[in-house]
Parts: sequence; structure tokens; C-alpha cells
Amino acid sequence: MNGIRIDSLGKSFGEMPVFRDLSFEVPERRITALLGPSGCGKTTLLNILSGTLEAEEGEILGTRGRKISYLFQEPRLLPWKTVLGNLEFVLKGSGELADIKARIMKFLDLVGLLGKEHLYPWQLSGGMKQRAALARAYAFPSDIILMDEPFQALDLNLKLSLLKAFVPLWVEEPRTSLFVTHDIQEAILLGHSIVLLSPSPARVRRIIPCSIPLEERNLASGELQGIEKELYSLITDIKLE
Amino acid sequence: MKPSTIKGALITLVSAFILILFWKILSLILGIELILPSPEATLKGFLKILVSPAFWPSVLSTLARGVVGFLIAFCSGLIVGTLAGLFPLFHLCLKPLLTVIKSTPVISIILLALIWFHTATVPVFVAFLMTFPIICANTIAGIRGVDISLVQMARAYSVSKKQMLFGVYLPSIAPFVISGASTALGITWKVVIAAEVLAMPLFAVGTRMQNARINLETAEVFAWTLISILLSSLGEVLMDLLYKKVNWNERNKD
Repeated sequence: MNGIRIDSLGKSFGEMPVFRDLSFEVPERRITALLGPSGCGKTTLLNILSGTLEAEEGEILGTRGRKISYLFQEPRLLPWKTVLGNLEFVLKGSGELADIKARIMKFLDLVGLLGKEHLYPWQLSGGMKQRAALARAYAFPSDIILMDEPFQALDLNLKLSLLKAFVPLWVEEPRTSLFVTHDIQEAILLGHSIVLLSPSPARVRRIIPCSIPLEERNLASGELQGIEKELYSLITDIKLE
Repeated sequence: MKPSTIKGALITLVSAFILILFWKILSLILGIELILPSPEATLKGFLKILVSPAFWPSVLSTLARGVVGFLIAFCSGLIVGTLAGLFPLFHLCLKPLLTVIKSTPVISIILLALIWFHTATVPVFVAFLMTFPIICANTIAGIRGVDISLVQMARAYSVSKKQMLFGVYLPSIAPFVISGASTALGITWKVVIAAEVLAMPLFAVGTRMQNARINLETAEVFAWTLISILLSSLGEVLMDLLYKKVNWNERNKD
């Protein structure tokens, strides 16, 4: 399998085009960060990839028959189930019960929630809820992970701790991932390649690769600062209508 | 026990005492036991019927009729309400029927049931018909109140339809359904006993009340009324406990 290929995709809501002729590739077992201003159709693209929306033009290759995990902006945990119950809910039927439990515990451990598996969402802090959602996305045996600005609603400390929690998950089981964000720092910390979109109707403006392994990334490093500067200058060039 | 709980229980006890005192004063002013028996005469009547051979068969038969009528309404209301909540066209078709049932006087339903059914079945049918629209309406409201973001999450993870129903929809609607069931259960005892008074099955609280009325045993009517209040209160307490267990919205506010 060669990742996901988005080819000449077009979508509009009524008279308003969201994106037109959108083409790029999401390489296999790599994180592609999709960076763009608000309203440029990033979430719409994820919905098309997950099959909940249909595109009007173009095609998507590499998603058919493959399992997808979805990490939303909000944790979206079932309030009547414990953390363990929430993870079991999506993993049910994916194997033997003992194997599922062991897998859940492994990922809860990786996000620092081991020992909290019997708590209900109302007993967790905002950061813990998002960690549980992160563990759910990774524990689900998917081929593809779609992430829709999962760190957006968190304060800086929580965001950094969650970004830190994300890396061991990725190292444990790298998967084909599309990470939607409008935060440059999040994009350069997690993206193996960064796809910069123009404002609506969105088109690919630039694709910037980043070869540093995720676990070695540091915002103070020269290469990342170079990418950050490049992205800033490209974004400030975009004329907002 | 929390101090607020003790305080609440004390206030309830004092209120009950004031109510009984008011009743006693009123019965003294009237001075006619046949019209308003005193609290002690009612208690005496209560103890008398408690040891009578017809007591348990009557109470248990009324209880059984109420439970059967309520359970039929609960199950059918849950199924029909779920379908109406999920399919707006079905809800539109159902609306006139629900309006007719809700608007028809209970007495009309009892009289028609007396023509259609056996005396022992009348209270069951009336209880079903009077509580079905309540369960149904609350289930519809519950289905419409389901958090769509959780449904989208479950769809994104491709969970089965069975899991979607039992894992997302039913727990979401549970607080609405239990709240409706609590109201419905309160109404059940009222309509079951009213239907029994007119249908007069062999063993029934309503039949005993009617007999006491015919024999001008007002204290006994009061005593049977007390029993029906106890039955209703028991159901209310059980439903409250169940509601607290399934009311996730309240817990989320903690």
C-alpha cells in the first residue's frame, strides 16, 4: 500500500467553493500535517476521507477497505462509560477480549493514564480526556489516523504535554496519518511533511518535508526554526480576502 | 448522612405532622366521622383492613395489574418512541394517535374498556393507554437530544449498528425515559384504582374502596387511599433511585 492519494479533489457548499483541484499525497506510515487558515476546508477534507461526506470532483485512492481512527477537536468520550469502557467500545470485535484489554492497557500506559482506566470522563481533567481520546485513536487497530486539530482547545502546558505523549504512540505503531492544524509549531513538531494550503477555495501552496525523527524534534533546533520561518513568510504572503 | 439530608428529612416530617394536625382540626370542626374521619379512625380502619383476609389478594392483584399495564406501556413506548425519534415520517403518522389518546378523558377510556374487556383486564388496558403516550413522548425527546458528536465518533470508528444502539442511543435516552417512566408510574396507580372502582374485579384495591363507599365506611375509604398513596410513593422512590443512576448530564456538571 502506498499511502493515500488525493487527486484533483473539489467540494463546495452551495455556491461557496471550499477547495478546488486539491491534490497531494499522504505517504504510508508518515504524518502529513495539513496547515491552513480557518475555513479553508481542512475538516471537510477529513470528513471526505472518513466517508461521512462526498466530494464533487476528483478522487481519493488508498482509503477503501482500510480501518480509520479519528481524533477530533474535542475528546468525544461516552459519559456513561469509564476510560476502559470507552476504548473497549471502539475496539469491540477486533480480537480476543484478553488481547483487546492488553492492547488498551498498553496505550493507556503510553499516554500516562494507567491506573485511571476505571474513572468516568466527568472525573477526568480536560487534558486527561484528550489523552484518553488519543489512546482510543491509537489502540484502535487502524491503518489510517485522521486528526482534526486535537490540541486546539488546550492551554499551552496541556498542549505541550499532549504533544509529548503523542510521540511514543507514534514510535510504537507508526501509521498513515493526516494531521489537520492551523498552528505552525504543532505542524513542525509532528509533520514528516507539511502541506500548506491557501485560503478558501483551498489549493496546495507548498509541501515542505521534515526529515528529523519525531522523538528528536526540538523547536530550538536550526532546521525546525528554518521551516518555521519559511512557513511564516509564506503565510504572511497570503492575501486574505 | 449529610447535614442537608437530615435537615431535608426533618422538614418533610414536620410538614407531614402539620398536615395530620390540620386534618385532625378539620375533622373536629366538622364532627361527622361519616364525612371526614379523624386520623386515628383512619388508622384504626387501616389496621382493620391490614388483618382482613382480602387485604393481600387485593393489594397484590392491584399491584400486578399496575405493573403489567405499566410494563406493556414502557416496552411499547420505548420501541415506538425510538422509531418515531429516528424516522420523522413515522412520528408524523403517530402524532394524531398520540393526540387522541392524550386528549380522551380517562373515564371515557374506562367505560369503553368495560364494554370491550373482561373486568380484570380493564385496569391493565387503561393503565397501558394512559401511560404509553408519556413514555413515547419522552423517548422521542431523548432520541432528539442524543449528542450527534458521539454518533459521529461511533460512525468514524465504524462500530456496528447493535453497538450504536446499545452503546450510544439507549444510554443517551435513559434519563428521559426514566423521567417519563416515573411520571407514568405515578399515573398508573391512579388510573388502575379508578378503573377497578368501576370494573370491580374480585380482588382489587378499587373494589374494596367501592364496597367501603357503598357501606358508608368512610374511614376505610381513607385507609385504602393511604395504601394507594404508599404504593405510589414506593414506585416514585424506586424511579428516583434509577434516575439518579442514569442521569449522566447531572454527573457531568459535578
